[in-house]
Amino acid sequence: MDTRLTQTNPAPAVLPASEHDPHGSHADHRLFGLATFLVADGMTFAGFFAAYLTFKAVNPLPEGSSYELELLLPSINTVLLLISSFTFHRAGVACRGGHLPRSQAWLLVTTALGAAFLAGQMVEYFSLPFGLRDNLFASTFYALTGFHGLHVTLGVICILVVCWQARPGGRITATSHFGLEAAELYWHFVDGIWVVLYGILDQADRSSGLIKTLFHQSTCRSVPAMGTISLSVFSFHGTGLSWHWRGTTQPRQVRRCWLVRLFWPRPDL
Amino acid sequence: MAIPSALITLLIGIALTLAGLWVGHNVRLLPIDASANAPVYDALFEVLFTIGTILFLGIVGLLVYSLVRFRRRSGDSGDGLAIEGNLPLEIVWTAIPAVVVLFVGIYSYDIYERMGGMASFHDHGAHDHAAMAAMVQEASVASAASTDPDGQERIWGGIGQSASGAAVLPVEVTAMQFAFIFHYPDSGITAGELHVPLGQSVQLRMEAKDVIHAFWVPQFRLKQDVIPGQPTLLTFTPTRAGTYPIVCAELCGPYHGGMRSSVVVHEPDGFDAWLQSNRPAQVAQAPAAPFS
Amino acid sequence: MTVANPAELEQGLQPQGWLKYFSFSLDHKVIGIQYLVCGFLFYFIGGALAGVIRTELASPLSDFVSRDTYNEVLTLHGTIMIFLWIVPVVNGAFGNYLIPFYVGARDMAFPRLNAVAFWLIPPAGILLISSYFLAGAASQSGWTAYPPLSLTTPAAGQIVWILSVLLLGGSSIFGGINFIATVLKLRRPGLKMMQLPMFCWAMLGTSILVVLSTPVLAGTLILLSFDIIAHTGFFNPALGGNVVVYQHLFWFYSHPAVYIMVLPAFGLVSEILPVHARKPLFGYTTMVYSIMAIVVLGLIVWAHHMFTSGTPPWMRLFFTIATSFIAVPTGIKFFNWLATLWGGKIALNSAVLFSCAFIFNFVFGGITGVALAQVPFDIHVHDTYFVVAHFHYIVYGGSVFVIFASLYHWYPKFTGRLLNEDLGRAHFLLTFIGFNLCFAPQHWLGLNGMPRRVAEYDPAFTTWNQVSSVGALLMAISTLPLVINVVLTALAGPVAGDNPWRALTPEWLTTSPPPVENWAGEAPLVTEPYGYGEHPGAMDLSGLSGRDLWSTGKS
Repeated sequence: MDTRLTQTNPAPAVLPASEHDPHGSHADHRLFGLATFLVADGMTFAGFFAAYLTFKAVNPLPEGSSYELELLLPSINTVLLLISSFTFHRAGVACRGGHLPRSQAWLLVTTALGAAFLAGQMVEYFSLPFGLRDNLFASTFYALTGFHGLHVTLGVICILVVCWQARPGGRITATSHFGLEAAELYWHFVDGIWVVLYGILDQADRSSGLIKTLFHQSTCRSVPAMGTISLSVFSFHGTGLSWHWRGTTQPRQVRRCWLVRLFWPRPDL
Repeated sequence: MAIPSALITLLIGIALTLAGLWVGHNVRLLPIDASANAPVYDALFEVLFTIGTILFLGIVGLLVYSLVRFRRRSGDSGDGLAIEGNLPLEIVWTAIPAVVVLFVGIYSYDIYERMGGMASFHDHGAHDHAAMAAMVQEASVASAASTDPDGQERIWGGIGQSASGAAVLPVEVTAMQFAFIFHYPDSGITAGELHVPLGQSVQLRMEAKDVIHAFWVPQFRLKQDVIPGQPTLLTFTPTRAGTYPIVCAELCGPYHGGMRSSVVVHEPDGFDAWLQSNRPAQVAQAPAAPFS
Repeated sequence: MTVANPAELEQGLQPQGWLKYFSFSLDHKVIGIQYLVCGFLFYFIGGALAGVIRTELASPLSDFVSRDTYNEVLTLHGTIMIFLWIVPVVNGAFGNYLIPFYVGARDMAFPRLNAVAFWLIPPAGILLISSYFLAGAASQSGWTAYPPLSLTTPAAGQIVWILSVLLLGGSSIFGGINFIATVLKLRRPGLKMMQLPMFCWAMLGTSILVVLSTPVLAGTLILLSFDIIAHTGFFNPALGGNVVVYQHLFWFYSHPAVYIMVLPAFGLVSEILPVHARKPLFGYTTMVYSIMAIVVLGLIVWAHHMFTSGTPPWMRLFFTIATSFIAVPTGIKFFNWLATLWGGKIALNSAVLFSCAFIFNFVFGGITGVALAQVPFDIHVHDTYFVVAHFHYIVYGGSVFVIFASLYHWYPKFTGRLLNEDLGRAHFLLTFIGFNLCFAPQHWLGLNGMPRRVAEYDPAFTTWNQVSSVGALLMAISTLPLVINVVLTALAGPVAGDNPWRALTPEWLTTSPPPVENWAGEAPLVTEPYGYGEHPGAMDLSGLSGRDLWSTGKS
């Protein structure tokens, strides 16, 4: 074979290169490929969300089912995750600017925030009054948050790998940093998913008061569906259109978060 | 040739249309009709069959003609014409199918409405099924869970009653691996065969115990899935006395092919006689609902 | 480059010769052939399973295999034919082989991901088939795996089925990402999107469908496996779940899956017909738009599989109309192909015969498809043999006929040798007659009361079932001339030369078989892949029939 036709490109100087380009004749499209993959991954979540919304709209829970959720802890978690997106962004800026140690520091902060999020999720899991199999709501709750938690865990591992690679003499340099950019894109994606998840799960189920009132008004019934854009048609499935799990006798309350309970005991206790 | 091609096209079109009409009208592919819905269905079938025949014959005719007329003669290695497109033509063959499809859609929607497919499941349930709903209420938790807050039973889908006012014969259908059970709440009869009077509207309220089944009577042209946890309705009016097969049409396990029963359409007298001979001793005490 | 190059070293360690087809090769052509051969092996297995089904149905009693086995067989037949035969072959085989040529690239955008995508398939297939022998029982709930049936049939087989479909779905997604990136990002400089061969557009549309819909199936199957393993109640009504939600999620993938199987076939036909008719592809622009219209519509029609599932009336209305309208862009494509043939100089070889039989079959299946989209019509024939007949006309009469056509068309490119025409025509005749004999009577069976997926049936249906089984036997026999042809030609066929069809698309502008990186020199810039034919301006138009219809449209 003509030598010109064999592979003549050095191996890529970056991440697990599951798809390195052997020719060097074209630009690096791995980020584009990753973005396409994230679209696919997002559709998995969209399927879960659609299932959740449909279940909620049409499937009543048996009487006495427990579905109380905490409000504060997940909200703190949301804030943590949003901050972590920002810190990751700072890490990217620092890296592209050639300040690798600073980039590493930001990455470590991001890791810490991600780990804190996971810890918060664990605390919530263990303090919830229901298990995976208790009822349909419980199963969907754990499936949704669990699948997302898996993504966060993977993200944290990726950040640690990237952080290690950004050491002096590592694969990631100011000019070659695909791994860092890929991890950043992925992390933002995971954050975005969480915001949607928090939006449809938390707003409708965690809180009482204003949101609950809003959701009872028929005019606002379709608002969450609009929020989930593409598959909203699922949520109208069934003829009994309602945004609440029905069949319960207990008034819904916001459980006071363990943190609040710890530091701010109720006066009557 | 002196004959303009537009004329030829027109003649071919007329011939195709006539052929389609003839085929649609004379080729009988369906079993006999035994419900009020079946002639309506057959009319739709005839329309679809006619349009389909015209399109199929036209396209295949054009295809075969092209293959014969424009086949490459031996020794000819030349090219055809370099025609890359024709916008008016594209518009024509976009518009014609669009119009046909729109017509078919509207027509079939009309038929569907006449069948009762668009009827609301909650209006008639209130009065016709008061007894049934009450029974469901006192049944187990599972049934209570599928009840609306106001106590009315939740029907998830199916074919409702199109013409309101006429008295309906309610029958509860329970499907399980691998049998249908029919319960008549008015008379307390439970049977393995469906017996219905000629000319009276019958409303089946169906629920499965284990997996999804489907209730299908080919001679009625009606089918409805029987779903566990989600009661469905099927309303029909038999118009021809006789015995017709009830077929399970949804894969439900190894004996799916054997899951069959019959619907017996009686003359009104015969139905009363059947009711009398099968009525349980204690009429007042209806057995527990078969679904629970 | 110098020797101290890891990539080159690795290439040097790659097996050469026939062994490379068993290796983790990164060459898109090797991967394409791997997909093709692997797909054909599974086709023969799936075909043998179809033989078991038709043998069982030759008599109205369940007397050939046990009822459990029968359900396993029909499940495996459906799953293998869809996930291991048609999808990998029309996408993986021809897509991988042709797309880099068509965009003027030396390989796919992500060669290693490409190899990973292929190598997910054999283990998944072996896993699936071995479940029949190892796990005690294969899945028995049909390729649709509707709960609660899939929750109550033997769990091991069902879990293996889910695992295998997840692997195949992953393979499909990786492939889709690769095609999208290759078509959009890897085009040779100077090559515009609207200059690409139609197959590129078909693969782009298909890959968009794959990327958007396959993950939903994956998520659904994960939930289903939770129901089986962890006894959650997502789809289990006994635990408060909802079985119809599964159907929605399943068909959100599985309806687009039909287009994933058929759109590439549309693309392949669009490549084959112009070459052999010696005419440009008619209506390129409308063909592109109709592909994209099919992609968009294909995503919003899934619930027409659920007209009897207790869906609310408005939903049935919406999905009826959306489904019917798919006929419009599909019709445009068929009329364009007919216009491509019109006035050409058509070589009636096996590739063209199979392509034209595809038009015949698909138009038939499309017409029954429009009928099935109508709710009242569907209510009678849903889940009957009418539906079985319909979708075999679409996926066998459509996609599989195109696979055969493509094999005859591109075999000289793959091997440098021309397949025997006489054997090819014998193969065509047997397949065409056998296919129509097998599936046309099933329309009548369905209309008259025979449900699908049954091992036993009303004896009144015996005659037509036996006719159908004879057709299936002919189809089985028809593979013989094909196999003989392929093997004999590979050993001692006539040498084809680089471009036996005098085609203009870029894969023919190199040697047959092509070198490792497709072209010895720079990739050719083909801006008119269908530039066949004598220009109409240079011809006397009045000598042609139908001249008023087929002028350039400017008059």
